Amino acid sequence: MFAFSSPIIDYHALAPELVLAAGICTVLLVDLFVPDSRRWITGTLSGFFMLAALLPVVTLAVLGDDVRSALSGEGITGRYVVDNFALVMKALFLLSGYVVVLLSTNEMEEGGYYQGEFYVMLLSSVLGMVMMASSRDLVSIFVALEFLSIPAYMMAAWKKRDRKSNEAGVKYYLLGVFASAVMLYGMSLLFGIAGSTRLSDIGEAITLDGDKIGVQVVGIVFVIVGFAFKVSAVPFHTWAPDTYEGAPTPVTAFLSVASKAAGFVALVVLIFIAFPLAYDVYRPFLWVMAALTMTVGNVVALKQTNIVRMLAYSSVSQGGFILMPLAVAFTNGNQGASLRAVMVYLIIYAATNLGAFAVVIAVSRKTRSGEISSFGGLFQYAPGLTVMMTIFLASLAGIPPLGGWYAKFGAFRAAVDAGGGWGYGIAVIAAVNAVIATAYYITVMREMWMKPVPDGDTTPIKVPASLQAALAICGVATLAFGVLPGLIAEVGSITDLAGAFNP
Amino acid sequence: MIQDKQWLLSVGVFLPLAGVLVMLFIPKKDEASAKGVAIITAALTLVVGVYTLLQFDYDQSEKLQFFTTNNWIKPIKATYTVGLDGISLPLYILSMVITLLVMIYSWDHVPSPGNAKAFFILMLVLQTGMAGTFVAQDLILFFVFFEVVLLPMYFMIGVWGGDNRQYASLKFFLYTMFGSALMLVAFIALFINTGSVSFSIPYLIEHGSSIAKNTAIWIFAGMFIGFAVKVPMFPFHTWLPDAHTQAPTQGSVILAAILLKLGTYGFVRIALPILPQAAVKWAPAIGVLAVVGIIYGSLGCLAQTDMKRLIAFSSVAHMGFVMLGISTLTPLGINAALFGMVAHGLITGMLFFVAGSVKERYHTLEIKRLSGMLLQMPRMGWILGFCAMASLGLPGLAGFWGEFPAILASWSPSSVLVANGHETLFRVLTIIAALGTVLAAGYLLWLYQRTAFGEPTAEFATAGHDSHGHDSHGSDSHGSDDHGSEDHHSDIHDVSTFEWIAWTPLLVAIVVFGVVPSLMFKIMDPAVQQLTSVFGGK
Amino acid sequence: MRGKPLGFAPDDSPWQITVPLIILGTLALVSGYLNAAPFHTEYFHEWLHSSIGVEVPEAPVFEWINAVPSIVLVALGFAVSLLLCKAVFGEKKNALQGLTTRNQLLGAGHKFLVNKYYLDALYEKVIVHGIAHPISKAAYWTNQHILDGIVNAVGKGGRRSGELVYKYIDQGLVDGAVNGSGATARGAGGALQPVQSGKVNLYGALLFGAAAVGALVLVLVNS
Repeated sequence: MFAFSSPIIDYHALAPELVLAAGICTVLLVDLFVPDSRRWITGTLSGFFMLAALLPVVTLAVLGDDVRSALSGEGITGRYVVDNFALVMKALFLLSGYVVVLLSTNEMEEGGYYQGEFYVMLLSSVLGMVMMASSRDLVSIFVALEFLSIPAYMMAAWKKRDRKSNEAGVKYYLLGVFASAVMLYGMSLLFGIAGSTRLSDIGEAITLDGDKIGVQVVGIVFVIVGFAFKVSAVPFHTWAPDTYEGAPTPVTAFLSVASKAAGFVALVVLIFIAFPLAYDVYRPFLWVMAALTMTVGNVVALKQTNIVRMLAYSSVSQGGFILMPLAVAFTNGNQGASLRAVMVYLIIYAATNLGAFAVVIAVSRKTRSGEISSFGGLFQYAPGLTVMMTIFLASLAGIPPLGGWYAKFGAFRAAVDAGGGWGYGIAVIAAVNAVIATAYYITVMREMWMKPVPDGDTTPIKVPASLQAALAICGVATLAFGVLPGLIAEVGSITDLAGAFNP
Repeated sequence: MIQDKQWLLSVGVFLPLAGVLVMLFIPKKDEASAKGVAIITAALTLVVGVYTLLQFDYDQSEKLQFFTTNNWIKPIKATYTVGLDGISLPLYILSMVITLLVMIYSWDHVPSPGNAKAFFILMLVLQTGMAGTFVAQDLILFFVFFEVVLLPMYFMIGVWGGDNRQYASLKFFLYTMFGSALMLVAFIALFINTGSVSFSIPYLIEHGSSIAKNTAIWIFAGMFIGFAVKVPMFPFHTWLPDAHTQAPTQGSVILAAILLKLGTYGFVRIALPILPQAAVKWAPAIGVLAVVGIIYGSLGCLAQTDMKRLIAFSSVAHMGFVMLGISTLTPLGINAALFGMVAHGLITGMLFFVAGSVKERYHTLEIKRLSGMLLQMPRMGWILGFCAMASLGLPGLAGFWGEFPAILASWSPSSVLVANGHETLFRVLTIIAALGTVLAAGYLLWLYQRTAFGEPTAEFATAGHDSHGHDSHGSDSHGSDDHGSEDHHSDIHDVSTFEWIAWTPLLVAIVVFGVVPSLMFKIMDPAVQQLTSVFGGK
Repeated sequence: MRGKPLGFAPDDSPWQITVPLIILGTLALVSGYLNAAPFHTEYFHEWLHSSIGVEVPEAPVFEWINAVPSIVLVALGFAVSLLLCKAVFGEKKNALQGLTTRNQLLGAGHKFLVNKYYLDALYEKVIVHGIAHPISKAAYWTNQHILDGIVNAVGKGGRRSGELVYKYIDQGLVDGAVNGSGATARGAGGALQPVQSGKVNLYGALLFGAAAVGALVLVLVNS
């Protein structure tokens, strides 16, 4: 045991979190004092704070090339760190948060929702994610997870008078709590084995030999289950379609992108730092989950008639593609390729999926419908939106030269790199799924380009400025990542993940 | 490799995209400007192409010229590598010519439902994809360009196509997507099995032989399916008749003239030189499928009642000759295949043009409803006859030089194949393929006889101008002779000005390459010789 | 023109036919010499060679012994047909004229010749309609129903399996417990309503169940 000594705090390293915390307080206060008609200010402010928090992330990336432990001291160092992986992910969360603010402004203002509180929830959730990116300790991971989840539960139910939205929130909340309970139990087992909550300590203790194999296995599986829920991997995805459909669309975008990315960040950190020697456990578990997730998500998406629900299942299936490189990590020394594949996939997927939701929001402002058929003949009266949506869908399908192809390429490469039955097996399953996925993305394209306008109303759609900005950001990113993948392909080499334990 | 004028190919490939950028700022209503900008862009691109032709060093056509390589995606070692040799040059230029001619044809033939701006933008994007595929010397770059053509073609068929366009376009898309997914896995496997060093094609050609034979055979299988779907080879061809029939004329022409060649080009550029051992193993299978395709495609043609669908099926047969040439692994066969690719592009492209114009005039392509075209539109009728003759491989026209040498080559396949005991097989294939040419004559002459000869059918009988300016003289006299030329629908008229502009270059090329085939053989042969040297030449 | 008018009596052709025939005839006379082994001309061979740019297989060796009989035969045929023509269509009346109408056997032979050995009929009726069309119809049927059928079946099967998985597996769990959202709407619309519907219970059970099964299997495998 050691005597408690207060940790040394690296304020520069903590600056993004601090800015967000300040943002939460400011928005809360401002919300108290501005009249209803000017509540939009809260949205603008939140967006501003997201970008402000990005600033220290950039300076950290430029200045500090070393790994920094945000809190250091005896027994504390290495539990909350800022490395390149954390910085990239923080930037991703903050930018996604910013785009979600852009998506929300008109929706919140015109829908008669509580605006100030919504943005506070959004900022809190993003803060939780930003913390998740730095957490290298079971306790801080758990705190970050709850920090990001609880506001999300509330945001899902934000349409107060809408039954579906309420159902979405409650379902998400209850299942989230179940998953947390399972995970917490797993964590306690891991702590029991390792005698420490620090991931690097656990990584040394979990070796799958000795007489406590059973306990180790159960611990690993339960912790993974907790995050499998978060990334809506089959069979832990049941909440996703209902919640996605019921929640306000900007919240759905947020859940399907940022919240999912946070789950993957935790999985990456756990597998690369805490379980690298336990591949006999996580590999079959994640492998089966990846195969199921892609296939079930895809096959079910084929049948959907509601665009949000289809995107929900599509996002389930995309999650399977991100699980693929994780499942075969540490096989044939492919961990570098795996880590890169996951990170690149998350970034490209975020840009693409947020863009698709932006189009859905823009179109439903006119059609007031979420049915795929309401996209009929969009090309005739909104060619710009049609082209954007085509770009996003084609990117999700993985058609060059749009970002998605490179994301899929990376995932395939990690799998083929792993080789053997595990690697080639999942690669073939993924290849088949890539074709199935194309089928339903193309259904939407067909609707937009080739079908007549269902109600014959061809007045052009007015896209508000904030949505235009969101579309521009996502569109440029999707195209640029596809044509010049080198822009992001450099992120995430294995050394960037501080404390990664190489067996 | 000759690293001279490194910018030239990139300009040729990406110039159409610059045109697209300009077009984005033209309002949708101003169709004339949109068309004008697009045609000027395509013309400028062709000027770059002609300049490339002039700068090309024909004495070293086996070497990659205008070669340039740059970092592109460093972490996966994919590079931006482009170069042009005698194998790619004819196809590269052909893609530019066809795009320009198709655009000129489209000036007054924008298919329903209109929107010329979008239509022309798609054609420009297609042009970039096609030209890029022919100059890419890196597998990933090749893959990207190969896929770039998918979406524009999907929309071209799906938006501007015929009645069954949605089914046809979806089938086209998913089928090709399936092929390219396997192709991509094969490319990655190729990369990893050569030590994860480079995706560059010249590098892989050098090191491809280090791959274990069994692995190589599997990798070849992946590429084979990817390319075979695109060619398309029997039995992966079922997307083609639907896509061709439903596509607008412009789409059919581009599809037939260029897109199908991406597959055969892939075999010659990538599959054969990188994995020669596997190619030898696969050659008999390819040869058999090719010949099945020839006979099967011809029989399919005989069963058709729709002119456009007949031409579409004939592509299956013609690409069968191309694949037969490739499967012999001899210089003669591969030269014939490359020639056949260009010739098929010119001839079938022309046939689709004619079919489109016939459809526009008669509003039907049903063979039994069409008749007497030579009386109603003598020039159109003659052009159709000319193209039919070229297509059936009449000596003196371009089609001959794709078929005849391919059949000749299959009689004496490469020495490696002979050593593996496949000589008899290939000789049998020769005979069957030769029978295929008879069938080709059968269906083309049948088509021509039904549509061009005789009297116009009753429903269109009163529709033509000038029914008997040329032909009534020699033919026996009938009562129908004295129909006035006043009471006709105005839409059955002979070849229009834009059609003449678009078609003349193709018709001239068919004759010129038919009479002086060495124009092309001379360019291709050194590169082909180099390629086939691994197979023991011959 | 005297004698019995014949159905196939030759008529003077218009110039559009005469001129091409003259050209073709001239070409036919000389073109053989382009590639005639006995005269050592190999223009065609050389042209082919230079056109393709690749060695073309050599022709077999020429021998007069083999060529003479066929030349003699051709010359004889030529002479006989010339004489016959003169006799039948000539000015002088002779026994040959009208012979085919007098002798039944010769008449049949004449009809046979007039109909060009019935080759056209053979081709049209037997080969085209009897053989080629059924084969091509069959090939096309195979194409549409078997090859394309497979492709379409794969597509439809994918869609159908999506339907089934969605209906019975993904949503079936829900339907099994309660009649979907219809029941959810029943009763007071409180926030906890969906929970009472049993959906969440089932989802939760699935979550715990899958976690437990996964853990169990992996423990068994690893120990």
